[in-house]
Amino acid sequence: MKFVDEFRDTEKARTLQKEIHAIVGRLARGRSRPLQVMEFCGGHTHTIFRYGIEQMLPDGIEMVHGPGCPVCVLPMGRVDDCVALAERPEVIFTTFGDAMRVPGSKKSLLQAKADGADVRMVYSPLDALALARAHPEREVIFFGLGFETTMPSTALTVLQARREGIGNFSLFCNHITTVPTIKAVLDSPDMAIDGFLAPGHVSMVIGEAPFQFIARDYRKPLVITGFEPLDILQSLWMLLRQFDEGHCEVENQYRRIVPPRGNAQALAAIDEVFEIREFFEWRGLGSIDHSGVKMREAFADYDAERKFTVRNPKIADPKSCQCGEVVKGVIKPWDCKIFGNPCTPENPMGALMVSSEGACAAYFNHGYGRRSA
Amino acid sequence: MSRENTITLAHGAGGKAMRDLIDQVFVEGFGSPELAALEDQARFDLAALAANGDRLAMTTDSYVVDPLFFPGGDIGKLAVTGTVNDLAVGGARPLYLSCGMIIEEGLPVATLERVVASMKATADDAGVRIVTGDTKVVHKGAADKLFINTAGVGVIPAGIDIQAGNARPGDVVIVNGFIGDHGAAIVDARGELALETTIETDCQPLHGLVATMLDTCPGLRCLRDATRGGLASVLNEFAAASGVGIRIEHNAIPVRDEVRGICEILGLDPLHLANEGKLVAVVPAADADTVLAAMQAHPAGRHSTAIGQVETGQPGRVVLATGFGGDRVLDMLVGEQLPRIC
Amino acid sequence: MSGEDAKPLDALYPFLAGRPKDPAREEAALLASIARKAADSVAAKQAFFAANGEALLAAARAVAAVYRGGGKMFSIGNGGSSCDAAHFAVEFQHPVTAGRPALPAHNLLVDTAFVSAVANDVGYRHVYVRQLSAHGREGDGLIAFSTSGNSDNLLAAFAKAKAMGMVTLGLAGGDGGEMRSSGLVDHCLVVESDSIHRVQEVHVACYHILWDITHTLLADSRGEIQ
Repeated sequence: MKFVDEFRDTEKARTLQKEIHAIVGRLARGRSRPLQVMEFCGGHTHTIFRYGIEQMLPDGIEMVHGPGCPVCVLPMGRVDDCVALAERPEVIFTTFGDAMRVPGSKKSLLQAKADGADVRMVYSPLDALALARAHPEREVIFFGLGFETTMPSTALTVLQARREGIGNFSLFCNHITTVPTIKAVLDSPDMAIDGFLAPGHVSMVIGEAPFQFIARDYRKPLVITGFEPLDILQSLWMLLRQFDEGHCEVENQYRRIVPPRGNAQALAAIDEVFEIREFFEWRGLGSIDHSGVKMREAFADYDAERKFTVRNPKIADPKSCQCGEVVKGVIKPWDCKIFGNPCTPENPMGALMVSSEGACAAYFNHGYGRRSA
Repeated sequence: MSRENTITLAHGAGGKAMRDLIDQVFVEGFGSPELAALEDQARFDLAALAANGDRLAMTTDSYVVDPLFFPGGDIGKLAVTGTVNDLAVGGARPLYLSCGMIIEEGLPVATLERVVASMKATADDAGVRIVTGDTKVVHKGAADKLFINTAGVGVIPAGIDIQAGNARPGDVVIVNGFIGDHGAAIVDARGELALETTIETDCQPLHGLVATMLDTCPGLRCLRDATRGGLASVLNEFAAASGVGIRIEHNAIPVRDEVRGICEILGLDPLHLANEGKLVAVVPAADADTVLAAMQAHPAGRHSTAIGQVETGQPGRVVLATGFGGDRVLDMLVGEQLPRIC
Repeated sequence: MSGEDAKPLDALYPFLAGRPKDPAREEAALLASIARKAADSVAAKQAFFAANGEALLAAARAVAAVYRGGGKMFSIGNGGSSCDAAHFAVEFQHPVTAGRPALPAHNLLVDTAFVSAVANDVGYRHVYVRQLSAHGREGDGLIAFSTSGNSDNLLAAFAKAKAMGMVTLGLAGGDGGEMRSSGLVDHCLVVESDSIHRVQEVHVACYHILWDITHTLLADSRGEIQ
């Protein structure tokens, strides 16, 4: 299959693996602890586990799985808001599939659907708009979730709705941004990350420039990475070469998709429809400044938060939850006191177990939870 | 006798309308002597049954697929094949099926007739008869168009003992063809993604193939069809029941390019998709080559291949060698397979 | 970042944008933010006192009864709320109004040697419980401050206080959490806001007024205001 198989070539993988082992071997001599590299994006976490990449790496380098899973970091209070909206009889509540399983304080959207709420899975916001056109007597709400990657399609859909004068469509906006969040991780006093694999599809929208501050001000190298296993291996190799040669810069490994300046039209659409929230709550990390967007006043008619009363309750995670520490690289998922018992993918107690891309869920599903060691 | 165009509540009420429906659609359509007798039950001579084996096998399944018709099949074909296969993987020769129908009022009679015709054709193909049935009609909205339940009985010949708990370290794991076709076909048929190629279901009866396999290898250890939950579920069931580990080579599992394609786009895993014409067998290593050859010579097993083996590892664990260098654990599905967002 | 296509990126990531291009607009926006937050704070207070006047009066009566009986108050809290506990204790021991008596009120976080010992040896959950055992008597009072209402060591202290025959008071936020639902707090006043800052601002006003009313009740020896 084109654009897929070439990037899963096992011969090239083995070559990269050898190089990685060689460089880490050299670097390990001057270090007292392993190198820690954070892959921010949930899509990268998924690839790493699907192909068993961590097992291919030498002991001198460890992956820290970052909070880049928008489903995992959705606060329970926001899920409660979704359920409340969905339970309104006039509402058709549309959402991406993954978000349906996130538990709220009483139930998830999937459970609300089983209890009779009209919750429908869509693959894109345009599907939601089509539903609004087809059902003028109902109120269609689209649950806008995801990072900068999905913001453009949401924004363009809102613009389309306004062009067509569709009055029964609104957006419940929970889009969050990656860049301030990486900064928040870097600013944490106990964080221990040496370098980053930056999210490839986010970069496709925003380009390379917003990441420069990480290399320039925090002196951490960063490689913008694709989603196939060879992309990950090549990016790790590029990062390691920077450590080896004493560089610190932003490199773009995903050049086949990511233009250095990003996508101007996508950015323009985002700018037209959205503005920054002062702070936004991230499950497991707490409140992060300027890390979320909301709809501008001009689009109030399409803003579910203005059209309907949204309570926005603050629901704390159970005290035993240590998601915050796992996400910052302070502890490993299996070090968490409740990992595997009682916190499991079927009974998730915190952000990182909720979605299959969460670090804890990924480790658990791939057998780490049941390891005797 | 008047012919109506759509099913109404009267058709389930037990009166004349229902009698007409049974006569015109079911008795006529299924064409079995037992149904034509119009008794409340089908009757079979026990001695005749016992001549073919020493155990009676019985199974039941309900079918609620949406849409009713999809490339390569329909709910009726599924209903017959699924039950036939559930008997076949126990080593039984499938003989008789029941058919219970729950119909949503408003379903066109022509649709029902189409489904019945498909069931008859599939039953004839598989050498089974539909001998008894039931009809219910429910209010609009109380069912999704048509739900079918089939139960089936068959006879297991003496000496055949296939159990999920039989696997031993060293045994070889075999599948009879491409994995994930049915699940992908349904996703494709729901029309949410306009793809260029059409994916067809792999729905087919397997008892002929199973008979061939048992002829070549009477000591066949485990056999199951990989329906809901897919290949991953069956492997986990074998590993758990037998208390063994199973190691599978990812690159050995045959998956069609179109199925891979739709899975890549939607973030689905073919190993968790349903199959309706695929079985997973565990056979002793010494017999693996001969069984494979016999399967490949059979129309239902042309693309049969060995995909892994049973080992002494952690009991109940299924490990997938990713083919890329590392391993991962292949677990059963948790909840529904929901595509990822970004 | 500069240039035409920088504008959307600047808007999305303000911290990367560098110095504001329009200082006057920045200033106006900040002043507006100040005014908005001040208004929120005022509104939170008004809503709370409108709903909790009688509850606050009952709480003041309870505190007055403690002092009339020769007892003392203990105050506890974590983090910012421990500052409120300290402030409460100072308020009662060091009255700002001439002529009002100094009353015994003890902030139980003060002895850091003790707190570190218990936290290290037994667990943070027990740091207040043990002090109550040592210093509390039947007829004393315990007040706790918590923005969530769910802090473990406060709930443990409440249970201990009730077992010892003390009266219990709580100032909480959010939906009151377990402080409200446990039944261990005789007088539980909840600021129904999810903002930690707004909750704490109301708490300060609340215990200032509580102190004031308590003294009014104590000074009046006639039977009517008991």
